[in-house]
Amino acid sequence: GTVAGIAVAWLTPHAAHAQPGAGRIVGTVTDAARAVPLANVGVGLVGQPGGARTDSAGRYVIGNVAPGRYVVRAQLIGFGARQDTVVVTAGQAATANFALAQTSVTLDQVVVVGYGTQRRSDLTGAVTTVQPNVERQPVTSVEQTLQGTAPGVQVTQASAAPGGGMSIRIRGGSSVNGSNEPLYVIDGFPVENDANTASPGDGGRSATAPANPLAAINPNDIASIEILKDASATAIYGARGANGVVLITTKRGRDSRPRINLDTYTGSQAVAKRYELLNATEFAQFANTWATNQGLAAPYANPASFGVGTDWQDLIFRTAPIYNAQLGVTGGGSGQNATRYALSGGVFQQEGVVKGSDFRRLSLRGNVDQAVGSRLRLGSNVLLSRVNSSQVPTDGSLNAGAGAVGAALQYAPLMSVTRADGSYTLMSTDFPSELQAVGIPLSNVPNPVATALAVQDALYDTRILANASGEYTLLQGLRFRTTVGTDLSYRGRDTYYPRNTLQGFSQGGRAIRSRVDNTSFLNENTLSFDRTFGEAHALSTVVGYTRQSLNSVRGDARNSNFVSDITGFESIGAGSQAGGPTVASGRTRWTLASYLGRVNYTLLDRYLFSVTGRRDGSSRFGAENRWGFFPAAAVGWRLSEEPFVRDIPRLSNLKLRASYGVVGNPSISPYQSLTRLAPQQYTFNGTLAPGYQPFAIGNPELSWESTRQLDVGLDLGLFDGRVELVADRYRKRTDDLLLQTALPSEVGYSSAFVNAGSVENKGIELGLTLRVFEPAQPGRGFGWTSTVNYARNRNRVLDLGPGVMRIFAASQTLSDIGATSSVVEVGQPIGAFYGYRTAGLFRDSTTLLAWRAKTRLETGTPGLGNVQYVDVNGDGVINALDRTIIGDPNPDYTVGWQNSFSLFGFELAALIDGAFGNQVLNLNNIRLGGASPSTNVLRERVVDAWSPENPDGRWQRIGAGTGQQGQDITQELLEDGSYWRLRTVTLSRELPASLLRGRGFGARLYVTGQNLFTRTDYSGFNPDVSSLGVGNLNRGVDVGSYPLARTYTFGVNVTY
Amino acid sequence: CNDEAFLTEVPYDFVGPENFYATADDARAALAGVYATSVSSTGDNYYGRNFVMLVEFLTEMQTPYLSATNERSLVDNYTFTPAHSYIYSTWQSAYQAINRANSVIDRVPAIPMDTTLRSRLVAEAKFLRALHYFNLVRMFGGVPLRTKETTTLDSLQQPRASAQAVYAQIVTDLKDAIRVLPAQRTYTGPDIGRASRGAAKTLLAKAYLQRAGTGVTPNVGVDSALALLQDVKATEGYALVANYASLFDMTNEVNSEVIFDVQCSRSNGVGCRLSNQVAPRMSNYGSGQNGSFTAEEPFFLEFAANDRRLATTWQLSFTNKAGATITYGPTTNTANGAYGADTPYMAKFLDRLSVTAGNDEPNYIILRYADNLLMEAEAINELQGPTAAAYAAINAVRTRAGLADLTAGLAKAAFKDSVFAQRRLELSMEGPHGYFDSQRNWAWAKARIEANFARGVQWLTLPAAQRVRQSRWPKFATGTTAVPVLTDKYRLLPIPTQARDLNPQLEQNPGW
Repeated sequence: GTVAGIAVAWLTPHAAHAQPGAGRIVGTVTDAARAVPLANVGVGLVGQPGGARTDSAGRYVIGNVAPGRYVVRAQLIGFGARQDTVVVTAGQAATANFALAQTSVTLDQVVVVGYGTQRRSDLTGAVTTVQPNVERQPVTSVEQTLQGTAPGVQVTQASAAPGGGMSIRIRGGSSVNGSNEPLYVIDGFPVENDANTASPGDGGRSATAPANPLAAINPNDIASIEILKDASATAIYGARGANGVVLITTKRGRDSRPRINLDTYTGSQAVAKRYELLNATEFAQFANTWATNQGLAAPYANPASFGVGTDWQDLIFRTAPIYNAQLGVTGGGSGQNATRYALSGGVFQQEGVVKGSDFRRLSLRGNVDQAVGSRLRLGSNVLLSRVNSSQVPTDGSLNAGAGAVGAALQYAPLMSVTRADGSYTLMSTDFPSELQAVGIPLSNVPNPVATALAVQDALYDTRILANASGEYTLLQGLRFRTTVGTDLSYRGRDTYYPRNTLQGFSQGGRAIRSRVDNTSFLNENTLSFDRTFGEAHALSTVVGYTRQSLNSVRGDARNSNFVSDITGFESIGAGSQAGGPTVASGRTRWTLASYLGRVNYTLLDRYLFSVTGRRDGSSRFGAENRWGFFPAAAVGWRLSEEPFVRDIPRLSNLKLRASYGVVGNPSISPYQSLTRLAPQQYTFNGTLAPGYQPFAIGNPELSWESTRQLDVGLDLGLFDGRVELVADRYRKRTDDLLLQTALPSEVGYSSAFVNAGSVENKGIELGLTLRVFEPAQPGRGFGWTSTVNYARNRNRVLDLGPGVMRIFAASQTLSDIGATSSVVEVGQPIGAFYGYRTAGLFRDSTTLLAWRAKTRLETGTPGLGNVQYVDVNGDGVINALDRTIIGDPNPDYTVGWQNSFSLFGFELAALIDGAFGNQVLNLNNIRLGGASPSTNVLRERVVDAWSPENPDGRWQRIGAGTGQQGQDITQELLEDGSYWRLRTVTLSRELPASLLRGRGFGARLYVTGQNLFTRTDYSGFNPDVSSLGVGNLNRGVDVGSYPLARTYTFGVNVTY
Repeated sequence: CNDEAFLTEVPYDFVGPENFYATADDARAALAGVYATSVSSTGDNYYGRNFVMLVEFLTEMQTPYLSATNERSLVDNYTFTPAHSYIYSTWQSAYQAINRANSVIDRVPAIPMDTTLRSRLVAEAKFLRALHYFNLVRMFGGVPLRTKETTTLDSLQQPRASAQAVYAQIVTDLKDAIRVLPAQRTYTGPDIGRASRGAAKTLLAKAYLQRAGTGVTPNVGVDSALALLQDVKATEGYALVANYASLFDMTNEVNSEVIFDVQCSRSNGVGCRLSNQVAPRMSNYGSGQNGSFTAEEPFFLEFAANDRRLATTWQLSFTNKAGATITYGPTTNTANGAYGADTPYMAKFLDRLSVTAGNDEPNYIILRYADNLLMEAEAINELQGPTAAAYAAINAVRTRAGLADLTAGLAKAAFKDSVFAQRRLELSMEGPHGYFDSQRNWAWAKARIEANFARGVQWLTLPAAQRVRQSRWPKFATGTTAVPVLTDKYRLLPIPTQARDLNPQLEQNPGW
């Protein structure tokens, strides 16, 4: 009280007593376009103290003005300032009326924040708003709309398959073992988007990027997305705020007649880039070279006789249609007892560019807001959706587990799809005998066509997200609100590997049916108070209590050895697997109880203070550390409201912000704090003996990860808002990481969850909007708006607990390769690539002999044209101890650049985005850059192989022999993943009103191209890849990834 | 609203130690969990595959028949490193079993139940703990000695104990077990297959012999081993079965000869896992046809034509999916094209009816009476030279195999080598014994293994035309001319790199 009181007294010098002989200035301020009064407009005297604000009728009075000539200036955020000259005479009122023209919507925009809304101009935290525009970017899932449009938000497509998993990092990843995905809040319902726990089974594949649970939500239903980034903004979500929060608000009804909106588009997708591989003739020549280099007779006398052979990429890729239609109606009234509503239904269908993959979604959404009298408001939201998708095995494996794409790259081009009897060929049995005869090691890659067409892998997701709320105004500005909500999802996955596929062959067909039923309940109760006290003080507070729970029930049945493939997964019982079908079930539940509060106080409309806190209790933590408190505070200073600044011409907005707070991350599976025993049977003399084994060791002290974040920001508007800049600089430090620490195996457990270690993220974000030309009226004249965003984040592991410098976890080991490709190491970014350092090839015998004199391989001896390993520890032998950090999957910076031009009713919008400085581990090249014709290889690998005749060749000598040890992860496999991409281009045209005159119709036509052009040095399909899933430990790895599609769509939007 | 009740975690699909270890059923289940570590709960990592492959491929008996860089060939060629995954997986699995045994030994004594049964369950756990420590000490020498269940995350890193200390713990546990466990014949019905007094005595004798033979305590304990073996012979009632082949007959798994085995059933989660490794490639046998175990030709030729073990040990022919009968052997190798090896595949522990991996019926034999006889011959020879009793012991095994008696009048060293050669022929693939036997007669084993290498390398240098099949010796990379040399460091396996990463207190074995 006292401090604030003093501040008020000091900051309000003009609130002095009236002096005799003084006059007044009065007037009204209106909106120039709508001719309605504008409230809260600041009116002041240029070069003088004193001023006033308009009331709700737009009127203002500046009293106690000495007689004289004054320049009066009226300004309001979002409007161009106006000024006028008046002469004040003693005891009289001089009049100055203003009509302000709107310049920018952004500052006056209402921004959804946790448990409330704020005007953008009042924000003290770092919040980015994105309005999805389905016309500009026809996307499957909502996260894709954030790609390139929000600074500090890195969106990675774990799989480019329709409905494939997405991974989002807001200001970098901070957790090693916990989730790094932000908290999604959909119409107030918090959803922890953990793709792994939401995933119904693995479909019998060991490594696969999980499907995206948010794909159940139709992007077309979304009105706006707010991304909360700093601690001040996210602390209201306390323990779940550390990865940032994405608030999704769906479209609601407004005060209008019923408005009908029909949006439909259709288009086609094709693989944007293919690998250049050997054709059959070239492959046979390659085999000849290989054999000759081994001192063996060439197996093929006439390679040309094979012609081009089989182009496996051709056989599994296709041009695929995409289709969307959405019909909605919104409307409602105003005043007491008014009803507002929004209803819509949508159909979305996408076939994948890899045969056998598709995604279909039916969605229905409805919300109703009902006012009951003037004090009570009731509201409800219901979102129903059903997704059916077919997953073709793709990412994540190289050998027998390879998906259709990885197999298509590796499968020998001189082999045919089927044998004479019509059954599918296999590399392991049908590899040409001429090649087997010279001892080429057999590959066990499955038949790509069989994998794409014969494997059935269907995903289902039925999701209901519903909530109902009631809000009662107790007093003016004091409202109580209660919400009950639920998020129900019932997901299933049905998989069948018929006997003509590699997996199904040895098992007589293999069927899997998995289900997961998640039910989440939420109850929130908040009391909010919003009030202005006099002209100087505005207070906005909220306190609340919430509870949420998530109950997850799973079932999984598997069988093999089927008499026929006809029933597939539909009749699990039809199989006769030895010992009967494999069945499993499980159930988990977590609960969260929270107390939250926030006070926003605005003094004189220019000094902004915000204090936020949340106390969360989570069942997921040890009894000793169940509760956590997460506070944050922020200040903002709207310099542009200061008398000494507001006269600066062309400066329309200037705000400084600073925030600091602590937020948490609880994202681990339930029960990790408890010691657990698992059932494990044994048989004595054929009789089952039920057994239990300790399998996980508990940790009653287990608790949250806590992230402290400091953010300083600047909002700048120039030229009446035609130039807007938002800049932030932040530093996040995450302590008490939830680490799945590997334990010395002698203790009988391989790992345990502990709180240890620290990670730091720091960076800057810039968002610049330029309204270069504004059209005189919407739809007429030339307009050009350009938005640029830039973000740089540095991620560094500071500590991993006492004595630990580096963490290896089993999940980081690629089963096919038996090597660890990423590690967490102190001083390095999380998930840095780890392997052997190499120094190119041995190109001359001097280098080779010098190397050999000092160094040896554990197996074999390198020759000319082999890879030169670096003896990192200098012990004279190349072995596992020489592995070191060799690269970083995180970009140095990311950029997005959006342009929109309008002329004569046409609008052209283009989004370019890029990431720079990251590396991709291209594991495909273990095979495609291989030294022997066990699999197909890159054409370039043969053309530009080292040989005495081509001493500058990029690739190892063909038949390299002992050059590379086994399947090491080496620097040779790392590539620069920097790219920039023309992500979307849209040309749209509003049909002229003359065509639709008087009928109330509006119509817009648009054509869109996506991923039209990518500039990158990366040799694979797409540098923006993460085949091994969305975790932090194995980012940026490419193994048989689903190729990126180039998409063209044409759409119509009709409104009535 | 009561937050604490709302936030208390309710386990639904698992049990925790707080509500377990309360009844006799819990005690039995906890012990079954220890037994299960030997195969099902560790999958391929231990007896299911990796441990057996390590011990077998480190001999001159079998080869995985794969390219030089394959992880199994690395073992077969002695080109593996301390980071080899099989070594670490065996280390991990043995310690998992030890921790589980520790939990039974720590917690079961407090359970109110029949005290006789309770003592027996604890004694079984001690037998199992000794077995797993014995596997570790044979592989690595001294290892960290943990004899209490791990219940907290404090002080997890322990240095290696000496090999003597590990053996001392094994001896203590087995002596405890011998005092409590019943004779094997008293187990009936669903208790058949549990650790028995005879098994504990046999394992203790084996431990004494190994401890002396590998120089941990030179010459000490061989007399104790002999006394135990003679005690088993006199009091436990074991005998050789008449027909060697019937030992591997799945319908004859309860017999007079098998002393302890991993019990398996053709059912999910409780089956053995070796069948799909043993089954010949492209055969129609079993759950998979990896053909991972094939005979090294010189060892195969050591089986006399009239040795009754020949057809039980090796898959001399099989009928493939197309109905063709493929015959193996060094003279018929051209016919075998796509079927991989030129020499026969291992035949023991093949389950022709197994469909999915880990569902094999045949029990994996760890201890059997023929081994006792051969150990007896070895022990007598060590203590007294090749006496008549030593000859009688080895000849009992030879006679059952259809072989003539061992040449009389051998010198002590020659007799020892004969016993070891007989162990190879009699016990291949079982135990496992191969590499561990080599450790007790290193010079003999080393010479055999190096000769085998030399033969393979020499073959590689032949002109291509003279090689029947390019992949005949795929375990060596083309161009290899140097014969690998077995230095003495190979008498122990290296402490796994992965274990040393996690516990820097673990010192590496000499030479590694």
